[in-house]
Amino acid sequence: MPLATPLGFRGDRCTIKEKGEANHGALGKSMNSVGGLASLFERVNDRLLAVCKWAIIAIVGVLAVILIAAVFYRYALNNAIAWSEEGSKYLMVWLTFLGAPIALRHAAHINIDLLVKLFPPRGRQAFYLGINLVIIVTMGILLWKGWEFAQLGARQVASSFNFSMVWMYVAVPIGSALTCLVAIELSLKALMGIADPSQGIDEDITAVVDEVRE
Amino acid sequence: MALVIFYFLLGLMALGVPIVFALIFAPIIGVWLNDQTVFLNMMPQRVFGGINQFPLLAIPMFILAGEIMNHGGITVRLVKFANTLVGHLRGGLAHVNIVSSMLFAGLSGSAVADTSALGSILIPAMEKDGYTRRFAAAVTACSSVIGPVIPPSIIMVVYAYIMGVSVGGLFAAGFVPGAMMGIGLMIVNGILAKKRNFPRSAERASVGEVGTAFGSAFLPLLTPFIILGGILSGVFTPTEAAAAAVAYALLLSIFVTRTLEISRIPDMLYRAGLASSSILLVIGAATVFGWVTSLSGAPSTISSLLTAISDNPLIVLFCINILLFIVGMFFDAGPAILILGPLLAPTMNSLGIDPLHFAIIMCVNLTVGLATPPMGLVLFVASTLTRISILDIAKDMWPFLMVHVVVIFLITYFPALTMTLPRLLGFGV
Repeated sequence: MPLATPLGFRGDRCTIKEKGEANHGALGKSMNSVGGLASLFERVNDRLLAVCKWAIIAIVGVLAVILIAAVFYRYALNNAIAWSEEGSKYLMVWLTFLGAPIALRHAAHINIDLLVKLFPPRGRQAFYLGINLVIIVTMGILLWKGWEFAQLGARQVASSFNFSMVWMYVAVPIGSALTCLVAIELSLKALMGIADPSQGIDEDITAVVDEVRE
Repeated sequence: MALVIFYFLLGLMALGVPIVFALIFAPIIGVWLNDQTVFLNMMPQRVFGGINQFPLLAIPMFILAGEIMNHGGITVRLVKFANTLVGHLRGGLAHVNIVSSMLFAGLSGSAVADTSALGSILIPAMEKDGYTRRFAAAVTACSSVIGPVIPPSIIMVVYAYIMGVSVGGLFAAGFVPGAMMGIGLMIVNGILAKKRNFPRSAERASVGEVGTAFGSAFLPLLTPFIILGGILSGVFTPTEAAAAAVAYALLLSIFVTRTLEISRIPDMLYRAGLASSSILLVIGAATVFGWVTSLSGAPSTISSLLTAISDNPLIVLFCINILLFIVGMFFDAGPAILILGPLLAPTMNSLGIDPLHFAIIMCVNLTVGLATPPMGLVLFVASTLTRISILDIAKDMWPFLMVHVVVIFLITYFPALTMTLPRLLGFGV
């Protein structure tokens, strides 16, 4: 018995340890695949958001040119540009929806984090997961309903230039889809963060942001 | 039932959901609980329609103008001019910080731009001069909120859009409260300077030196007058005025300061675009929220709550100011205006408060909220710039915040302070 106990004990410890290792292995494996998925989304989003970034730069530049030219034409040349008002409004809608996913990734959408900050790192990552799931549902609905809305535009034409309204309305579902993709990436990261906070959503990201938000 | 959507909104926000998504998600739950999911079909159209508005184009343009002015070396000229004016007083650099904020307010429409532009120059300078970094951050944060009070102002553009008030009238109404805030801050700083023996930052400048500094700052300082003059004379719509401000900023930084680097232009456009995008998306989301809440009858519920307090508009105004101040501690000014403006303003108008007067009270109060702890964009930026926690900065802010509170109550109970200028300029109020 005295011999058996340590043996048995050791045996127990062994099995527990093995179980633990096995568990950890399974968890680790699933986390690895989550991690793989997260980095896949990250790479895809990197590309997509780079396109958005240059689109935003172009849109703001074109907006400034159109609006300044419109003022100049109206007062200096006494000849208003007919499409400037409508055209610039549509560009602004595109600007809004292309900026939304970038802002989400840089944590630039304003939120109240007082409650979240009270929790330890693991808990905070769980919060981030929940928050991003809410965003996925919200933007998913906007994507779904926005797609139907965009199709309505097929029967409409912009009034001051000959352009189907689909091209304007579709900004809503496209922006929602991009935001969804970023939210999925962030959810996966948060999921990893629940297992290991150092792998999760980087909380210092806001430091980068105010440079952008300013 | 009418208020359920509000509880959802507050709950989601407390849990940390970004305001813009909470503003769409809360109504989604609302219509789902009410078995009105047919309304979901109209949501994208409401978001689109809320953003697809010509007056809102003033937002990206004013932000872009501020970006260009800041990169174009114009900020530095303003600071130098302020230094010749007040640098010789005790507490010199703190005074310079406040005066620069007032001057910068005329170029930029956002408090956050003010904090990061002036803070990055003046906080290190103040520290070198012997002020604590905490105090420097507190002064910067408190003076930055003058930015959206003195025109141009993004917050006022948003208010004017959502409530149909005249942008020009609101801009004109902002000059006096902005100046009062600046002067009040300088008085408090003067008292603190004597008590704590703050240094002076410059010899008294000669008339010639002041003249030279004024000369180099003169053209940028014309910006608010071009904007307001253009709107007032009917030459510009606010959007056109904002576009003209961009053109003016470009001309200044190409021909006058000659510091515009072509390679930095994409960066400026990108920053202005992203900043505008976040604001515009909140406006679109708030349109959905406002639409669903008005369907559920929330405005009349809130209105009867307000009039139940008292039918004396002065007492109701007092309570609303307290409410807005508390809201400002947690909410950003834009969303707060978009959510609360349509709920509060009609009731106040029916109690006999002029729409423009209520507009300026609400804008000033919520702007101050940008600097009140525990949450505030201006505080947040000041805290990142200095690496001091928001609550620490707040310890040095109380005397300055008291100034803002006094200004809020002065403009509430002496309408002539804000209403005289718009009236003189013929905004028909």
